[in-house]
Order: sequence, then C-alpha cells, then structure tokens
Amino acid sequence: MAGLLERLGLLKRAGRGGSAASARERLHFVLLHDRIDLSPEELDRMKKEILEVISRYVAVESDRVDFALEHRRRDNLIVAEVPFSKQKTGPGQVGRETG
Amino acid sequence: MGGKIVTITSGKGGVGKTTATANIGVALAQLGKRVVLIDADIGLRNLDVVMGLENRIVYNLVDVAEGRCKLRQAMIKHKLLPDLHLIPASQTRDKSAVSQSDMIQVSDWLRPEVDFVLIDSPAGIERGFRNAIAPADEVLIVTNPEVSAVRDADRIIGLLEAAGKGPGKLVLNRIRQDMVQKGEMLSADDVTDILAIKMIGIVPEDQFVVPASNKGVPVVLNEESRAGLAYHNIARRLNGENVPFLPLEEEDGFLRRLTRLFSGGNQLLKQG
Ligand SMILES: Nc1ncnc2c1ncn2[C@@H]1O[C@H](COP(=O)(O)OP(=O)(O)OP(=O)(O)O)[C@@H](O)[C@H]1O
Ligand SMILES: [Mg+2]
Repeated sequence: MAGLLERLGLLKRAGRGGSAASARERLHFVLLHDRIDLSPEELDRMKKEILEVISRYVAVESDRVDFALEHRRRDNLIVAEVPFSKQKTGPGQVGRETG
Repeated sequence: MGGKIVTITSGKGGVGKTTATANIGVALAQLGKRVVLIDADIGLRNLDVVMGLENRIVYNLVDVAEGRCKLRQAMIKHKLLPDLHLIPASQTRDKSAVSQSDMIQVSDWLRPEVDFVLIDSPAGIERGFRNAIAPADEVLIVTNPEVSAVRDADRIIGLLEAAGKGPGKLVLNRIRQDMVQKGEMLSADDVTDILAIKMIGIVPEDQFVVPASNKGVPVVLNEESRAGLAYHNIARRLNGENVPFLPLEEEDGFLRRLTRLFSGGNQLLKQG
C-alpha cells in the first residue's frame, strides 16, 4: 500500500515537472560542456592549477573542493567552491609567505 | 546585386532539412521569385523525390562540377512552377566528388540569373556540410524540439560562426503545441532561449507532410496544411517581409485563447 502511494506520489511529481523541464536542464548541462570545449584532462589540469594558486595563500580542504559549469542568464560560468581551514604558514610551501 | 544563396543545414540528421528546402523553394516560386534548389547531399539524394522530379534527371551536380555538362543541362524545371529549378545530387558518387570551390563556382553562375538559390545540406559537420555552407549568404538551421537535435544545432551555430557564416537563423520543426502545453516538449521560447539565435520559422508536426512526400507534391501546395502555412511564412520572411509569427500555428482554438489569456495576448506575436 505504502509502495503504491509512493509510486503515485512519484508519478505526480514527474507530471508536475514535465519532461520538458528535464530537457531544458540537461541541455544547459551538455551545452556548457560542449561550449567550454576542453577535454576532461584539460579541465582537470585547470582545476589543479587553480587549486595550486589558492593553496599558496590558504590551506585548502582539497577533498571538499567542487568545480562546476553553470549557465546563468546568457553567461557560461566556471563556479569553484573551495573550502579552506586556516592561513597557510607551514614550511615547505611554494610561493609567497604572509606575515 | 543578384540572387541570395541560402543553405539549409542541421547537424543532426532527419530533422527536416530536405522537406524545408523543397517547401520554402516552392513557396518562394509561388511568390513570383526565380528559384534554384541544389541538392548537396551527394550519394544520398532525396530532394528530387520530395519535389516529384526524380523521373526527369539526366545530369547532376557532380556532372557540372566535373565539366560533363553545362549548368543549364543539369537544371530540371518544376512541373507547375516554371521559375523553379532543381539541380540534383549524384546518387552514385560520394561527397569528395564536389569541392567548396565547385559550390562557390556554381552559385556564382546562378547568382545573376535568379532571386534565390537554396542549398539542401547533408547532415553532419564533415565535408558535405562544409561544401554546402561555402557559398552561403545566409544559413538556416533546422532543428527539432529535442535535446539531441538542439545540442547538434548549437554545435553547428559554433561552426558557422567560426567559418564567418554565423549565426544563422533557426527553423524549429515538428513542434506539437499540445505537448508543449502539457510541459512534455520544449517550446519555441525554450529553444531560442538556449540557442540564443533568431527564429525564422516554427513548423508544426503535421500529418500532411508524409503523404506529400509520398506523392512528390510539397505540402506547401496543400492549403489545409499548417506546416505548409509555416513554410510559406518562412519564404516571406526570407524575402524580407516582416510576417508576425502565428499564434503558434496552432490546432486548437480553445487552447490558443487560453494561452492568450495567460500570456496577455501579445507574447505569441513575436516578430520574425
Ligand atoms: N513538420 C513535419 N511533420 C511531420 N513529418 C515531418 C515534418 N518535417 C519532416 N517530416 C518527416 O521527417 C522525415 C525526415 O525529413 P527530411 O528528409 O526532410 O529530413 P532531413 O533533415 O533532410 O534528413 P537527412 O539528414 O537524412 O537529409 C521525413 O519522413 C519527413 O516527411
Ligand atoms: Mg535530407
């Protein structure tokens, strides 16, 4: 019974959104990737280099870093979410030291 | 001065390029224009059949390119419209039989003689597509309201821009207003929003299209056909007229009135 109700709920949700809504979302996603025209390797390298630069200044929590391509209005965006814990002061780090 | 060279292309196959070329060509001829259609889909010729001219072919585009006949000899006159001609593709050769400069040469010969040359491009982004757009003054991109077709149209728009032929204008084909209303199909606004180029026509899915190509009589000659009306409007827009978009060239009068109510009545009358 619960399963049936659940399924009905699911159906209803799907109906409300409509498949056109998922078509729109999926198109935005594939077009962003098509338009940036970088191979996965290049994207990876870009991400690494950006993180390298940021890491010179702050300690990055690298396992929680998130890079995403987004489409807002007419703009294609690279959105980076880079959590950091504290100012970098440890020895052996590349780049400028603060203080 | 001289005629305008318009290439009809798409990226994805089977979206309605050949149907559009035939119908826009007939509609332009009905408007009194001198028109030549060129089938640039070498090896997969279709435009002759859709036009109902397959039994009159002697020479084709490859014969012209290779100097085996004069341009005039490869031009087949339409049965009803004497100012409408077709240059068919070869069915036996492949795309390497024609070059970009051949296409430009043929177009330059035709330009002083006609008002419009419409070139039916093959699908894809390879040599055949490059040949078809080489002489173009204007490019129409046909797409369907589906993810894969719109994605490929976006790729084509990028390539056109890189080739200095962009951005082109969009023909959205096979739209079903009932499905758009239910939220089960991308709308014309969705597609223009995503591709960010100008729309030149919205052609509904239409039951008269297949019988028309069965008979070799383009659907624009059928006055009952809504797709035919849409192609007619595209021809007028190509010809420089400012034709308002129909209330989505729609089937259901009640739905149309509802849409008008909700949209304030003027949203549907985008200018072409
Ligand atoms: N508006 C429409 N309503 C209904 N059927 C359509 C419509 N437009 C095209 N079709 C049908 O879709 C099919 C493909 O059309 P068409 O041959 O014009 O596409 P194409 O883009 O030229 O294909 P190709 O890439 O193979 O050259 C045909 O059967 C045609 O009759
Ligand atoms: Mg075709």
